[in-house]
Amino acid sequence: MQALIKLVVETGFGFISSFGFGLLTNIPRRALLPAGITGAVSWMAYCIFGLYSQHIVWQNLIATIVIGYLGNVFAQKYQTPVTMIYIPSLVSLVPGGMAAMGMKNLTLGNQQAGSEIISVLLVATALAVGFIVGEILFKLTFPKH
Amino acid sequence: MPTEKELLATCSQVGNLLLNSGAETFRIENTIEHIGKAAQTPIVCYSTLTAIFITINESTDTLFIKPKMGGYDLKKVDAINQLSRDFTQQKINFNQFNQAIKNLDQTVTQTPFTLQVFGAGLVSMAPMLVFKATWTDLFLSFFVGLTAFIFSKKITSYYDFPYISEVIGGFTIGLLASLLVKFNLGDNLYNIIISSLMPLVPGVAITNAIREIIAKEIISGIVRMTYAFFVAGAIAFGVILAIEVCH
Repeated sequence: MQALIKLVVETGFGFISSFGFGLLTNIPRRALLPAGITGAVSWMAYCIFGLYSQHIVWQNLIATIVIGYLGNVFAQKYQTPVTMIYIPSLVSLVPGGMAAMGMKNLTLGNQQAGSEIISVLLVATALAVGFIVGEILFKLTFPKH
Repeated sequence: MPTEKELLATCSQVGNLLLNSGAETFRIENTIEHIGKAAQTPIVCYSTLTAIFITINESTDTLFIKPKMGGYDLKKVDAINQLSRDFTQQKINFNQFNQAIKNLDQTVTQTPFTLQVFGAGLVSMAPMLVFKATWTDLFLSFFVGLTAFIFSKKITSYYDFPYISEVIGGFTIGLLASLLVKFNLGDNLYNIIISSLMPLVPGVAITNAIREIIAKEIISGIVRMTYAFFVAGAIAFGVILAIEVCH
């Protein structure tokens, strides 16, 4: 029960952060809701998968596959380019904080800075690859009509 | 049917608008080539983040555009996409298309600034820290992120110094977070800072950079990634400066 409440709260935060970023980057009105939903579902996948895996790369990969798939479904349904749904959903997953703190450690001369920057690159690659896999899965299940 | 000069002029405007609104390189190239096909003139377009080349196949006219790297304005990208789709399907003719592009600045409504600021505040409550930071920290970072966003946007309208808006944003975040912790309102300095940084950091830029490298647009990918890392460094610089000032 406790875990379920936790999951609902996390999904709620995923929704509002994707929705907020959609407001920030000026996406058209009709795309705000699907962007929020895709962000929420992908964050939920990230959390659930995080319980089973220790490495963040796998979590991000699965979450972006969800974004790629759902994003394309909504893009066709609401007639928007898929970029508008994908950019706000990414914002909760991207390693922005890690990148800034990595650069901070780098300038202060800490040893762990090297591993943080590499993590940032690995996560970014996982995100990009996950999106492509999501698109491929979408094209397999909904062939062009 | 448009003359070559008119076509090139329209394409240059389209390319400029798309690049300044944060579209990817393959979208810019595809849109311009579709416009050419719809106007029955074969156009070849090559675009990177810092330059766009447009040339009409039969003549020797080549247009070269040098836009400035901007932020994201996805409504414009969507509007241009819709217009070019209508033009390709022959729903509107070239003159209407040209006129619509010229009026794009007036017809596309910007989300009102207050709503953008509210969005920035929402993004500042990072889901990554939901059960790792206290609720007061998350609540405070809503306001810290909001203020930093306002400052960083207002400064760019006065100065054009490179990266200054990010340094100011980072500095504001560091300053406010240090003050909050000093007066025992906030609990953990770094949690507030990392959470409030979310609207400013170019995480999306890094991911788009890798996506472009995968799509073999290596020049744009590397340009975008270097820019993203420098922006992250500028933000970190602002944060460190503020922390040093407060201690």
